[in-house]
Amino acid sequence: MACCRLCIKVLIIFFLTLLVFTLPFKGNVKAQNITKRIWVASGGSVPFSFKSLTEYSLGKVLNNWTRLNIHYRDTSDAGGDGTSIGWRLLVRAGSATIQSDGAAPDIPLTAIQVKPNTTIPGTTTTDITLSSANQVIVEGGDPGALPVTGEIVITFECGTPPATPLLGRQPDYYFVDLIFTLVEVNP
Amino acid sequence: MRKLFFSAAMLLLSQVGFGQAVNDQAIIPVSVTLNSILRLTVVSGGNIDFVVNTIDQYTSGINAGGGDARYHTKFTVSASQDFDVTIRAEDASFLGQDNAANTMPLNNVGLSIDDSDAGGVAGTNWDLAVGVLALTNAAQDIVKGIANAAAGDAAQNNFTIQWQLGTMQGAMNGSSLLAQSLTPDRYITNVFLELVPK
Repeated sequence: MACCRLCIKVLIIFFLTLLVFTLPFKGNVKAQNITKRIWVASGGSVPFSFKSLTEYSLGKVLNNWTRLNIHYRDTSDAGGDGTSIGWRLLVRAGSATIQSDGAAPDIPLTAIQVKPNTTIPGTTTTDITLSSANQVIVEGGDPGALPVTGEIVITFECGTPPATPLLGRQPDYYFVDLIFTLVEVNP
Repeated sequence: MRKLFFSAAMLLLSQVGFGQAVNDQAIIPVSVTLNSILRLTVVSGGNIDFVVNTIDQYTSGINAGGGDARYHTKFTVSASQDFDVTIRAEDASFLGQDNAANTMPLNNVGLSIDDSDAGGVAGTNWDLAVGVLALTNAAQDIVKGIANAAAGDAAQNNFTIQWQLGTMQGAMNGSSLLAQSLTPDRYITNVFLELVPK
């Protein structure tokens, strides 16, 4: 019986300690006023398949292949305009090269170009050549306290000028991840 | 005791419940599939027929210098990767059709390779066999692709094999057909052109 009481006391002290140390963090989470969401509406994988010499020579284009939806909002604690002055959509490769699944030499990331397009008002888009560093492809201004919601359509190109044609590359399956990140722009 | 555990469980769940589901990243896998393209097409001259019917042809051979288009085989290569082209005879010697016991050495037939119809350039896109080769049972390189330059279409890789018989040129048999005193017959063999990816 005494042992049982001791256990109960230990448990009570444990949970009280847990409560004391976790409550401040809970408060911080509630203070987060920037909401950023990005999700793939369609075109969740980008398959380039080269099967003719023309494609090897001229490259391949997947027009308007991927549709990304974004939601961004920054507000103050009082519900007014938050501190950020805009937002950006970044993209980078998940590896240093387009990796071969076999023994073939990897393909440089520069073979792939990312060309975004969007109807979200007040945005600027930039075509980029893929690299392992984050690059801005869409940039939006400060929407105030209003949310930014919309679709970004992306065209992918592989082996098209100014990139070096893939003619002469060894047949294989190559892969790379594209990582899109939605970030706020701080003053 | 139950109340205590219930309270503890609620406390833990409440902590989890405050975690905001923020997903500010999207990951899209990109795949590149390079399918192998290796096409060798014999455009013309798929059947070369030498008919020896004069003493002069027995002594001097046919198509010395390789200029006669009747004895040309034109072929093209379309390849997505660098390549070599080899040539070899199917048999160890030409075989008589009237009498299978009759044979003629393969090296009575010679060949040279020409690229005058090609968009590519020898020394830049590929190296060609030099001089007159003798036909052999073993594979010989007639086109050796240069790294990162040989892959291309049929316009770039357009070649002509110039055949000759009994001319004693280059690596061919040094004796004339007459000196070899070959038994009259119709001698044949198949010749394989092989496209080898690098």
